[in-house]
Amino acid sequence: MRSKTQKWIRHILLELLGLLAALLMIMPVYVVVINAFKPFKKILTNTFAFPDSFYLDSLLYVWDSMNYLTILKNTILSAIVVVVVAVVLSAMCGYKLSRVDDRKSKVFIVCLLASMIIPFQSIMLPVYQVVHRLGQSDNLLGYMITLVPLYAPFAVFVYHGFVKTVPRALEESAIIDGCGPFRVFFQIVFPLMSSTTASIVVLFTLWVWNDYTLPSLLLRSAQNKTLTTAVYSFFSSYYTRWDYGIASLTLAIMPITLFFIFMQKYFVSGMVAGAIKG
Amino acid sequence: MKEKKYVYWVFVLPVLALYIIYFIIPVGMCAYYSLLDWNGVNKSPTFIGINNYIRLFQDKDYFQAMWFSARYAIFSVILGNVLAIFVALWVNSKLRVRNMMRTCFFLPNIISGIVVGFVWVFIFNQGTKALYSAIPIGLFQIKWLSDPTNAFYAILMVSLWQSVGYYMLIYLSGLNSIDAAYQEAAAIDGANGLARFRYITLPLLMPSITINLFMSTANAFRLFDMNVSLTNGGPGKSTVALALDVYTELFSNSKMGYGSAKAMILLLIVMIITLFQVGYTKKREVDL
Amino acid sequence: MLKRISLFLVAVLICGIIGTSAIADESKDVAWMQFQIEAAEAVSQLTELYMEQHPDVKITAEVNGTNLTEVLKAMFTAGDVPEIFMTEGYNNMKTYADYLTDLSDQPFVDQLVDASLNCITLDGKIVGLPVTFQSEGILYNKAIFEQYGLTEPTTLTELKAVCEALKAQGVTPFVNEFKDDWLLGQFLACGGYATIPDTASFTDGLYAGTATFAGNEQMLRSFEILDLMLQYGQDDPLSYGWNEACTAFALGEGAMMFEGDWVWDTLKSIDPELQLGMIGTIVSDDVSENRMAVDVNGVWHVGKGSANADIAIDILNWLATDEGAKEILLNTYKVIPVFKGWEYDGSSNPLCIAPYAAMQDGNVFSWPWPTWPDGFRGEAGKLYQEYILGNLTAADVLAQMDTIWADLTK
Repeated sequence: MRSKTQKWIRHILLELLGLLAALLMIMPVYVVVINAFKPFKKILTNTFAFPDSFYLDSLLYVWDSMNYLTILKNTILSAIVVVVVAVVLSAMCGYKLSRVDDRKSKVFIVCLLASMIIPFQSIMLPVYQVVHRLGQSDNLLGYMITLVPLYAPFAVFVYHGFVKTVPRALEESAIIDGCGPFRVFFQIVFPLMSSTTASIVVLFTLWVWNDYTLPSLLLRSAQNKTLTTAVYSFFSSYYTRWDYGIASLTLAIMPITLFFIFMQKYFVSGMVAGAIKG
Repeated sequence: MKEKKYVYWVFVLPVLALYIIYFIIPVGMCAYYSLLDWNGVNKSPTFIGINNYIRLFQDKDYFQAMWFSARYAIFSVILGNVLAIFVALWVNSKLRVRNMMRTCFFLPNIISGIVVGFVWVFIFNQGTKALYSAIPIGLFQIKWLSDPTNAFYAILMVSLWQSVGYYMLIYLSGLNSIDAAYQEAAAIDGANGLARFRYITLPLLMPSITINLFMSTANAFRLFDMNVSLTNGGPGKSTVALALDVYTELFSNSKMGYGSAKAMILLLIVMIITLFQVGYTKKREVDL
Repeated sequence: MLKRISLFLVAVLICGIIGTSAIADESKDVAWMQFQIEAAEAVSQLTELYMEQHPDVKITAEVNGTNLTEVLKAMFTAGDVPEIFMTEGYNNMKTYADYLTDLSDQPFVDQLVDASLNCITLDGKIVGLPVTFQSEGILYNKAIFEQYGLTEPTTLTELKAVCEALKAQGVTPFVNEFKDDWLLGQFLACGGYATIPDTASFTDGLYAGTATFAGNEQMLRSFEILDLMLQYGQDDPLSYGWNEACTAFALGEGAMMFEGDWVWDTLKSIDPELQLGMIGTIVSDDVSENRMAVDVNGVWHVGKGSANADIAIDILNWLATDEGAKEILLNTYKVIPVFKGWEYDGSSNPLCIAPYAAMQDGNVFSWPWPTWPDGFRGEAGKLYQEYILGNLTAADVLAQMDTIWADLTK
């Protein structure tokens, strides 16, 4: 039996180590953010120093030239639509494929898995052809529709696995009570997987936020662009405009960081426990 | 039970239909391209049948890339998942720093693709120089990006840095969907921490493990953006992963046909690996 | 309930999006796509100026430095041809042969200087408008040279003497940017390939399979120069890419660097007071072999089959004649002019002064690497990296270059 002091020391040690680990993890992000406030020269010569004065020129220039508010709106819109549509459709699909575990369901799951393996560049040209033939190029809606099948397989796979943690007994008793299949899913099963949904929502939002290849291909006009295309416009295989690039990157990562912090409470344990008892 | 049939399709068809349009068709086209001699732009490519595949089997660069990707996959999958489970457990406990830890571990993911590599090039070059002038120990003198062996570990480090938070998220929801009642019951029956982990947590965590093992394997073979910006396959060709090799053929060398053949083989190999993997872990998932 | 609300919101959003994207547009759309992100500002000014003068035209310009090749190829394959797009000319544009409009009869062609014509000619036809000349050679820090009483070396013996003198003073002679495989590819082009007598025939020979790199005297010599640069260069050259090398050079950590005039913007941002000059890549004591390489970098093409190709042609002619465009090209884009009679004073980029003068005298090499097959520059550069690592000998490298050339031209 451990003495109280030993437990206390162990606890403090874990806390301190946790703090250290956390700080180490965000160190590169810290490097990015502090360099947004430095002029070009300082970024290259004193990369790791804290800025001695808050140089705002890069941020202001970038805000203006990349039309920040418009592209922020585009990115947020894409994120919301894609996440809502993809999550709902994938949850439905994953749920049914898991509950009805016959041969065709197994085949479907395997096929969906395949799409997560292939590097996107290999199918980039054909995908663009499909999108263009459907008349959806340079169109935010077309872009969103294309993203759904690109991201959905992952969510289907996740829901397929996590549905197993919801006891079938619950569904069966609901059916006995007279619920139709949609009610059973949306009112009983889906709410019980809210922790899973929270993770998927965060991941999908992140993916949409950071997506580069597809927007660079599909979204042409200035008013349709997303954040990542604007950020990448300052980077190239040869010459990189670090001051504007880092400034635009900082502006791009701030909203999603806030979003993630906001979503924290959905990951707190205890949210789901107890729901199963009823 | 009759109505079940059409209900099944209503649930499954939306995703499946979109998938067929935006994935199956493009992959089919990619398979067709692999039978051509084409530079990606020409209006009239030549049909050469399976010549690209024959050439592939004699391409030593391709095999070198495969070897790199295989090593990288093994390391990143094992280390990534072990670390992620460990961090998820750590973050799920009653520490006061856990909210901050959860955010900080996930934060590396918010910097996308190419930019991650650029930032880390700074850290490996200027950062280690700065650290060395502060604390002159051998550790900070390692040439991370110009030595083939070290470059491998550099890429591994950066990808673990990003992916641990990512897999941690899935493990967290996995941990949270395990009803505390099971843990309590086991504790009452006299099981200690380690036993509880092994016999209760781990089996009930299997869905998360299936997902994460699959994702980490697929992601290991899809490594691209960071590969380009961190080392660009260098020095020489020592850190060329499969996706970079495919991309180089497709776009830098303007060999759309040959590159597509490489992509198809990559798909085949990874599919076989993950089928075995998923089949194995799915069997161990507990259905409540 | 929540589900109903969210579905409703989604429906509203979708209606909104359809609404905004369906606004009828009467203007003629021109898509302009190019790389060279340092010119993004200039391109935007040029397009605005043209649109001011031609209100019925709407130009959507896109400067993409990361994946332009992929985007262009995807667009072409889908039948979506941009009106104006950029390539590097020579063999690089050959890939796009099916989409290049013949511009041989255009007025601007007569205004081009002869040195620029090689790059834009395909099968005897002019297919593009060159953007600017750029030069490559050994950059050197005039201040450091002055400080130690050194003069510009013009022969190999002089170069070695300069290196020894600098080393004796504790200054690293060379900053080597060898992490970038494309730079090594360009080095072997300037310091080896370009010095091959009758380079054009040699290139034809390579394509025909009658010439080889293996055993080539000038190519073998390039390794000696490489060894020299490594010997007198900074530690760990394989971890120095563009940023690291430019930072080191601008901070005076090295006196010389093999690069091109395009690094001026990066160097200037670190130290605007830098006194720099450029000399040719030195390979021997024969001065005629030690020239700078100057050639066209960037060619604008008119997409054949694009919706408004005629407007695109008009834009290219306008670039050659309009006063406002000329001003933007010279001062914002900072081109070394390709048109006869345009005055160039080098004020925007001190590195260009020497090459421009040399070009007027006809004392420069043209760039070999754009005549190589797609991807060869990077592949060859990587082989040179393997040489630096010690994994391959010079003979191995040249033999493998032959194999890769054959593979890429199959």
